[in-house]
Amino acid sequence: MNETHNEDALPGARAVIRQYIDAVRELIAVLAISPTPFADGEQSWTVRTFLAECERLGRLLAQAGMSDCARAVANLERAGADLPSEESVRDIDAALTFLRARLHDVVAPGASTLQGSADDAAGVSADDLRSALEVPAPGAEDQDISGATAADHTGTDMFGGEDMSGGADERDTFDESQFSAETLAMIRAFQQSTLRRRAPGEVTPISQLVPADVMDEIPEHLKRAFLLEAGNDLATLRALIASFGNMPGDSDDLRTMAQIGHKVKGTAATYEFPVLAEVMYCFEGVPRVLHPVATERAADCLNVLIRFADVIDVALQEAHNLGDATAERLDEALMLVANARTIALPPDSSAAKPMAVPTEVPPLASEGDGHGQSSAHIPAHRILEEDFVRVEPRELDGLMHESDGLAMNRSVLAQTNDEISHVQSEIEDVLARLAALSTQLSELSRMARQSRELARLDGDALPWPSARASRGGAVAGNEFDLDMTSSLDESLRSLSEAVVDVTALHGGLTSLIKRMARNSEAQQTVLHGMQQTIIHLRLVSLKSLSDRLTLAAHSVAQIEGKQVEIIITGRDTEIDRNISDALVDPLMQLVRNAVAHGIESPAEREATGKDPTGKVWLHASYSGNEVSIEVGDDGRGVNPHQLIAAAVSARIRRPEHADYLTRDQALDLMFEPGLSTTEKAGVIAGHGIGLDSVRTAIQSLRGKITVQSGQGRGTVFRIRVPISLSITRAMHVRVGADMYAIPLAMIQHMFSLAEPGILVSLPDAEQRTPSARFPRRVRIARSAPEQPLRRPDDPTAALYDEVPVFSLAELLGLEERPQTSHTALLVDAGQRQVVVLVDEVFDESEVVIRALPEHLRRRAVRGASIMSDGRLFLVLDLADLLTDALDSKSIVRVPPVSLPERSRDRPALVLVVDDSISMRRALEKTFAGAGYDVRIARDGVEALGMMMAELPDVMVLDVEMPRLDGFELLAVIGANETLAQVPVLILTSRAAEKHHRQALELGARGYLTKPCPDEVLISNVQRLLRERQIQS
Amino acid sequence: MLNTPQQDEPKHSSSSSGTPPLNLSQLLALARAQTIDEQSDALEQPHRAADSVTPPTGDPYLLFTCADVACAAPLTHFREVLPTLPTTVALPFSPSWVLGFFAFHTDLVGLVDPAPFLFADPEMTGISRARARNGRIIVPGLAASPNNALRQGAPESGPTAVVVGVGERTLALAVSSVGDIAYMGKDDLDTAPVLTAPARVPVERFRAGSFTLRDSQPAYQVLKINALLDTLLDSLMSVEARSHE
Repeated sequence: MNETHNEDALPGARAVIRQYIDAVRELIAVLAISPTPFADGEQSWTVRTFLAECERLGRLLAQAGMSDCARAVANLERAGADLPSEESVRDIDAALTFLRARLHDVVAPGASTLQGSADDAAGVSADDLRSALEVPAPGAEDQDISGATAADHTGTDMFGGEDMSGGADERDTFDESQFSAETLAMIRAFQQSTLRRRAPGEVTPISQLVPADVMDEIPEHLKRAFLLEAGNDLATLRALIASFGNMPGDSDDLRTMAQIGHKVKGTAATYEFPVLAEVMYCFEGVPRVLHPVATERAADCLNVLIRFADVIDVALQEAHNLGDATAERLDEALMLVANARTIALPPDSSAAKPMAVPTEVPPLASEGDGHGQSSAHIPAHRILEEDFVRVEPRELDGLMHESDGLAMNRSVLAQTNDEISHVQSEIEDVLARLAALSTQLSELSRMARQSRELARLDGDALPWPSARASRGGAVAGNEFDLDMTSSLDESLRSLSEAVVDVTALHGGLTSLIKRMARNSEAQQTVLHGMQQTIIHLRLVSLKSLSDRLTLAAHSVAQIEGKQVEIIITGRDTEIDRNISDALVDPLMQLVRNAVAHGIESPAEREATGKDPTGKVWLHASYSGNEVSIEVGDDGRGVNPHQLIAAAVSARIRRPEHADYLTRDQALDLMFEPGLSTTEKAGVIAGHGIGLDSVRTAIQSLRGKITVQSGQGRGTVFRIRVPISLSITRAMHVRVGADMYAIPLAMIQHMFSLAEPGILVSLPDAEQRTPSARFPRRVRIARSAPEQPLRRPDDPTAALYDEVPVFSLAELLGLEERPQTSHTALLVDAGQRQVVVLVDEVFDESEVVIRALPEHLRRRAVRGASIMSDGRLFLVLDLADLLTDALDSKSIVRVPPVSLPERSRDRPALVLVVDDSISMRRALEKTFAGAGYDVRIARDGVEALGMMMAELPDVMVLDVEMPRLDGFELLAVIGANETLAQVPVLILTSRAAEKHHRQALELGARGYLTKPCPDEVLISNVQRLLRERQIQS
Repeated sequence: MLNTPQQDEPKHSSSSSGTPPLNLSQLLALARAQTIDEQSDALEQPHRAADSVTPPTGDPYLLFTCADVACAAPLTHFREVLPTLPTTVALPFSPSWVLGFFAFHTDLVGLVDPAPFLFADPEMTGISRARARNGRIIVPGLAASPNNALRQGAPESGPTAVVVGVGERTLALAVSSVGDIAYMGKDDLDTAPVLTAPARVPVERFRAGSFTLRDSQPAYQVLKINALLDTLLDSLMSVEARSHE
């Protein structure tokens, strides 16, 4: 070991040491994440790498004169080789504690104890270490792709002046004679690897640090563990950014952000996510750059940080899905760094004009257009946690405690069972005695008969024995009597004893049964507790979600030039992790809408006497088994008349139907797809594609969303979602012989169709109201009559709602039978109320929903549950059932249409309707090739919509299709005079004669079976077109 | 070698040594016995139950009938034979061969009628859905004649279900009846395809061969249970997918 050094040689050597220290530190982190040291009897990859690193680090530390660290590493190495013994774990702990302190002093940013710890290192002065670690390499500015100057990384500001980029000093020279050949070889290797890098922030991956014989492929689970950790770091980062937004002058937040960036950068490189590492490298310098202007340009700084967090979020998702972040993410990161540097320039600088940086939130790959498209965007830390559930030790303790309770109860049950067996054995004894007694009594009976016979033979009719004794009867007779009496007494005594025994046994059994009942109750309590605990394990607080929402609101406010105060309460409200994930997009959309459209500009607000700073709030709270979330603003509110006008204009509502809309119903139009009252669509909102996605997402969570708004007073959305999807409160109903449970959240009211005063009889087939297209409907009197906004002619319109009626049997596709039930449930089907008829309604109760195996899952079935008597039943999702019913029913009756005539000059229009993509494409190609104009539809519903828009000349129709099949479509268009003009050619795989006949009966003009040669197909179409021409 | 478990002649013994303890019902029978013969019968009951059985050779096959066709399959493929048809819950949006599902230990298991698949006849039904729904219908089994291979005194069951598969890939197959277990060597299996079927036979993809216990009896069709299970599960999945369209 060489204890004396040439001072010039130190920087280069220490650069190498630092690389090793980084590697060991990462391995320590890996061991902390994945402590299992051995796999299949061999040392794991982690441990082997760890030991190899320890060995090399120990040698280098010794050569560098840091003998105390070298000794600690030697201890670490020795202990690591002995894993997993308890002693080795203790030794590792001790060595790690020492090394952590020393490594922190040497490497960690802002090392306050640098002087002291360096002084402890024999042969190395603090100044040497400081200079080795902090002096930038000449020309570092040229290398820095982010454009940051050396001062950004090395300044003596609050960041402690340490260069966190790593590798900036790799061009240092040193005296080769001071090092052994092996060390020199390693130093050269490192220099080569670092010199070739284009970014100074790049950290050498473990695979480059560790010889090939030691290095295996990095296990996938370790990569995932890193990404999980990084996701959590991102959540922390967002919380810090939110905190910075509240107190821009707080340098601690910026410092911690940089530390997080540095940590993730290093680990990402170690785990071979080079692009992600570069993104993080870009980020880690940004807090330093922004720090000097954090207070005076707080909004700009916040904006950059928010956007950077989003970029990191997407980068993490990409790393999870694609193996690493994409170059696009790095480009965005570099632009944001440039923007940060522009913000930090002095105001009078000629370069003060910001660079071309996107002014909106960076496009997140999974967010569609980022503004309300229904998407699967889930925060990175959520995606990454799919395979993990973080459990607090106290929760595990609770579970263990409950498990102990179960075990204790089990032992009590076993003891009770033993006692019952004992009672059973005693009952068997008594039974045996009773059997013997029975024999004895039979014998006595026989003796009695004999005695009576003897008496009869003696001619003595007197009763014995006294009579015979008085007559001086035989001694034998007396003895006989005595025997009988004695036997009888004995039998009676035995009987009495048996009765006493049975009574005692009955008492014992009763007591045991009571004990069993108590045990059963205790068991139920413990099981319920366990169930609650386990459900609780999946719950997460809305805190991380609220941070994202705060950032989103700030970001939008800045883009829109508005002043907004974000108020979030109930952050600690907990909800199932899956539900929390699924709420991200809807809530984000609502908050963006609130800021972009709800809140007015400061000038507008002042003009109307409002505070120039608008308020957007999110309140979360529990409501029974549900979580209630309110997203509101005190902005301009929504004009329901405008909504109605927009709905009519967009052909979402017919004018005559719109007349009947109440205020709430009009506001509900906000959730209709394609409806927007915003004159100018922006990047934030206004495309009319947001709120319908919000409602769809909430409904998919078995939740509900309502809206209230007052002009000039703001808008409030109220969302209710279950805390967990596995437990719900439901009403039990019977249909035929089957029981079902319907979640209470869907049921508004229960009543009988025969109930007077509530219902009016079925109306006639007027085409007046929105519900008129349904064959069966009822009028339900409104409890609080609300006048429709447009005040139609019908004076009774305010008194009732007209609601379609379905039977549950019909919805479930059960066997047809006469509907005799009058038991009705008024159900909230999202867009409208629906009455569902069932045979009987029972009590409501809390049901635990068990998912069916994948192959048994069916539409509208949430799962199964079990009654207290052991009977199984299905838990239904009525919304799903009714959505389809309302969709298909809504197009069954098509009003008369008058369609524009198609120009005779154009080629004939062929409408191809088939649910198979390949078939649609093939047919489209065939007909287009033959010179026809072709339209394609996926099913009957889509075809009908297209026919309504433009009448085709001929239709080629498949039979088996979702939603509305070919036969159903034939029936629908056959009932409409205009649509019936279109000749239909059936093209199906159904070859049976009965199907052929059915199609022709329904009005088809031709029937072909697949596969069908093109020429046959085209000749049939030509035939139909000729026939149509002749007819017209 | 093809065989079924053979029983020895009942060993009657008047000695009480080695007599199994009487259970409650036997005690009751003894107490109620009116005659010496009845008492004697009651006392002999445990002896008869304890009669020994000679160990069989070959692989065990479960014999059962499906849509009145005698079938067999390796016993190892079955998880459980239910005593009767379980009471099931109807599954909406399902074809008629899906009879419902029921609670099987801690799992939810689907009950299906394999007959339409086994015999490639969509119209064929082994067990009606209504019967499966009601469940617990105990139809007196046919008492086995002394000449057939079924254990004497152990009549065939009525309609019931056999559970096959593991984990999520578990299904219960409704069968007309379940008989005994036959032991069969590999040489006993006739794997020749059936070209002209005198009677209904399973389609070849689900049929491993056939064997006959007695010349006078119809052949048992040996089934490829795993292939059948895969097909049924695939079909259920496609039903599931269609229900979501």
